[in-house]
Amino acid sequence: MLKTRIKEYRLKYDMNQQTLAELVGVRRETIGHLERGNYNPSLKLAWDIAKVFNVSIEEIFEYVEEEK
Amino acid sequence: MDERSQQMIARGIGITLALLYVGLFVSAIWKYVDTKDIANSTLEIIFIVLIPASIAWFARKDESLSIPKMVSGENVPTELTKEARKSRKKYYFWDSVGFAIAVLILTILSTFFIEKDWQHLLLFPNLNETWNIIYVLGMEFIMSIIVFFAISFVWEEWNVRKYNKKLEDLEE
Repeated sequence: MLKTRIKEYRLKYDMNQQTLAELVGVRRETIGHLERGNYNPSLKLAWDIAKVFNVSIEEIFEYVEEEK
Repeated sequence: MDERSQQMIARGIGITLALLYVGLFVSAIWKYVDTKDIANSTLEIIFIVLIPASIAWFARKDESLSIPKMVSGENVPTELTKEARKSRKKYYFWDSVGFAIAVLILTILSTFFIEKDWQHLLLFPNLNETWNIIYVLGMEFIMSIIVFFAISFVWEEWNVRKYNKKLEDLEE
């Protein structure tokens, strides 16, 4: 499961979901679902989001092993 | 199966389904024109309805699919501002006109070329046959626009409100 810190970075940059969505070329609800962990982004989308905040992908997305 | 294979197969299935869907339409129309009996196209009609219903069921979690789209493919504006509402009403109107034109064309084709019976259009004894047909079809056309507009407005505004509520929930 992928955990994200997108919301944390958005708040740090005073950016709303709509603005981030426009910057990375997705719909606003996709950002919302990403933040809630409902959806795993493609590598390109993860890269684009990380680029917006000028950080590496690993700082925004963390892969957590699911408990079996 | 690795993700590249899954993508290629999904694309292949999508194209095949699209071709099948076009084939169903062609088959249904051909059977109706040939036999003039809609019952002969029952199976095709069932699948024509079932296929998009099935796709819609699986895609129901994509909120943006419930928003009406303009001819360019872009979603209509979903904000609650005056300009956005005006833009949506304009979309509903032109959409209704499009539907009404499609219904009018189908009515003309069915009445004059397939069934070849237009007695049901002769409602005004004071007018000659031609004016009767023009007047009745004209009235049907205008009524169609009004009815389709009303249905579009109620249904799509409900969808827009639902969409905005979902966005608010995702923002929290």
